Amino acid sequence: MRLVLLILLLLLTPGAVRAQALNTFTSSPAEGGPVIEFKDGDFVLAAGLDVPDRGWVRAPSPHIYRMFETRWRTGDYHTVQGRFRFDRGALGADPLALYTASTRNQFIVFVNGAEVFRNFARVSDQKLAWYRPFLVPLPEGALKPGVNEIVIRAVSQESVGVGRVIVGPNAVVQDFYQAQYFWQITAPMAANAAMLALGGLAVLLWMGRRREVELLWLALAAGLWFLRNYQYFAEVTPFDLALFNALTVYATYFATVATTAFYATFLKMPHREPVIAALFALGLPIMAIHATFSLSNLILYVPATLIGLGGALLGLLDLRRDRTTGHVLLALVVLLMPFAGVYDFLLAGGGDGWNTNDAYLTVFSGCIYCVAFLIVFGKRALDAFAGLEAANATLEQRIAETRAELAASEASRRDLVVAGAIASERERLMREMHDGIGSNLITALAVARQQKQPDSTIKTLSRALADLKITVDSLEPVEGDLVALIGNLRHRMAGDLRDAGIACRWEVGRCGPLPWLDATNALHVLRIFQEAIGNVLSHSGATEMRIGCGEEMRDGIPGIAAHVADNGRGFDDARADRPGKGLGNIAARARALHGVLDCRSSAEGGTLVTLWLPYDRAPVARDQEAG
Amino acid sequence: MAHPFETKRVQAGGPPMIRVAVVEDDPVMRDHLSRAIEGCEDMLLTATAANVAEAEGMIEAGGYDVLLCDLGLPDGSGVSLIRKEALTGRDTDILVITVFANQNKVLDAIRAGARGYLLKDERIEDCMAAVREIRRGGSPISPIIARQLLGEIRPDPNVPRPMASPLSEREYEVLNLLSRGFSNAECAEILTVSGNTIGTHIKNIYRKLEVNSRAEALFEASSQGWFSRG
Repeated sequence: MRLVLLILLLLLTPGAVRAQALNTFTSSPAEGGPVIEFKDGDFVLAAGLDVPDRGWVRAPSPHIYRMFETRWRTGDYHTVQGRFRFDRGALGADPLALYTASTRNQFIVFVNGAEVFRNFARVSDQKLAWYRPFLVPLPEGALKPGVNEIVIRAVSQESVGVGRVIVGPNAVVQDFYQAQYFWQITAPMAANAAMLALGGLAVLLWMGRRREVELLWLALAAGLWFLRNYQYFAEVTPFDLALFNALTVYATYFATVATTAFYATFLKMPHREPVIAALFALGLPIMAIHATFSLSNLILYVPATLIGLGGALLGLLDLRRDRTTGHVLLALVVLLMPFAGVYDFLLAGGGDGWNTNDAYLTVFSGCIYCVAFLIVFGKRALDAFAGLEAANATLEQRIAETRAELAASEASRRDLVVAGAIASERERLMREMHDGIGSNLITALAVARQQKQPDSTIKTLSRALADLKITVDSLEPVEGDLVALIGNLRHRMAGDLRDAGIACRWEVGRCGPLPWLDATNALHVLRIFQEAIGNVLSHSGATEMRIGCGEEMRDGIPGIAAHVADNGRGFDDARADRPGKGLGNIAARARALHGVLDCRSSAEGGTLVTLWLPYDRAPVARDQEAG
Repeated sequence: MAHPFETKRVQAGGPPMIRVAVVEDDPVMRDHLSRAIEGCEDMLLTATAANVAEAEGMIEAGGYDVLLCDLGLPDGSGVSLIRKEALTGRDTDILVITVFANQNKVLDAIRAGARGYLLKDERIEDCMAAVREIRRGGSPISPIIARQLLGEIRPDPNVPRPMASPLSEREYEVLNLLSRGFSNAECAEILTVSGNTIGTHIKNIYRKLEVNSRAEALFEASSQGWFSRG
């Protein structure tokens, strides 16, 4: 009878019988005892505060139960209770803790019927727990030797479920929890907060530089990505749950479009504006269809992924074209984004739900994007600063140059004024000599000749006129051209030489200009040669005269040697008719010129007078002073 | 084209007479020159003038082959007379009478249209020789003037100036030699041409300088026109 009753009892309450059995788990050794992760659990869909005795269904864990908003109406309360049984003896003696993730949204943990934890303060708290890990220390007092029972009662107005459940030594579980919490909550929160701040910065930058429209796209993308990612790290839903869920889903699409718009603008793609506008516009009917027919989120995620792939394609093309740091960096980021998307899609079980363990990646991509661009923008700004500094330097240099040019032109203007004054004074003197002294001398000479005055009178007048001509010639501007100066003298005296029956040979080599040859020095030179030629004419009895000049080095100093040579009687100091006074005069003039005068017998047996003049008088002047 | 009677006269009288006109304010010099010209069998003194006023009438009347012109006249500059004569377009050879042949004066005169110069103190026979020489087609030149001409006629290539008549290579060569002090005869020897050819080159150089100075004057005028319009 008892056996029959027992069988009946077993038939009527199969759950109750099975409920006595332990749940399976995997165990991994750790410091302080093994950590167990449940591989199955029992669930019951029963509202109410009590833990029911019956109706438990065994299911594999994690996710012994999970329900989506598409199958249940968002806004209604849904409850599920999960139960996990284990033997205290299978775990170490250390204090224990429970770890759970993706158990949502409000939940309470009971150990052996006693409440040990609840994740909400008020029932009105709109908790967001689908991605949030929880650590629940299990008080030793609540536990008992042998079989222990953990019941998690979860309530949600949307997706409800009991996710991953782990029990182990508190220290080990807490370490695990902290690592999970960092990657699932802290890091995404920090990254997204930073992204939002960078978006704000982009807006500020854009206000300063309205032409950089990509800054605005970046800011928009940052805002949309933040909206989309908020669900990962937020603890409570900030406003109406249904609206929040909808915005989260739609933001994915628009964030992708805004990011692509930014990248296309950055690359200055042709015809980008209509394409961007079309992509934004396309989002509206998709949104409407999704909302109206409660369709899968995929109808937003698939086009968003395609747009992301389009951006990656742009990045590939740009990599081939432009290999500068900024372009390479951004191209790599856009190329990474579809990979992150695919990874996350797989992580989400293709839409079935998170694997409750690994962190999503796309939650970081918006931030990476912003950082990459701001590096690019910062580099551009730094380059601009450098360019500005260079431009300033160039400008300063130009100003200095212009100032120097002005100074030079002012100096040359002053020189011109002085030169003009000198020229006009010379002109006045010339006119005076020409129309006054010169004309009078000419007339006197003509009269003397007509009246057959004594030769001495005519000669004196002729000499006076010749001297005057030489003075005038010395005033001619020849820019240091000694050849022209001596040539002109020879030209002047050609008639006299012809009359005296002396043939003249002109021997001239290449000579550079004497920079110091001004009117005073030119007169010295002319007087020396006048004297020398005069001596040939009146004393030598020569039939031929050589006159000329050429370059010659003396004591390592470059200069010009000019000469007058004849084939006459030759140089003889003892001769009475030698005009010693004239010779003394020209020697003095040569010294005044810092030149060297040399009188000796010529190769033809006559006299050779040589005048050497240096190009640069400074070293010669020093030598003469020292000597 | 020559008048048929003139042709006849030339044929009748052997070598053609050189008709000379003199503009000189100094009576002694003028007298000296006049007598020397009259004393030459191949020359004919057609007119004399002592100032610009007289000379202008003389130039209008014309009828001479060579014009000897002083520059410093009591009522103006001989340069204006030279220009007036040059602008008549007659085949007159103009010689400047000068004391020194200093470059400013001579170059001004050449720019105006003169083809050479006589030095007042030159022996009168030399003066007459120069008149015959210029008629044969030769011009005198001094090294300093040749040097100055080189600078004038080959100006800075960076400055856009109209060069109405650039020098030929040979003319440039001649001018270069002359500026280096070689005499006409020496130039002829170096270039293996006759002395007359050198004289002709110089005369042509003078003519080009005159043409260029006229073109330059026109250019200056038109540039100023441009500027004033702007």
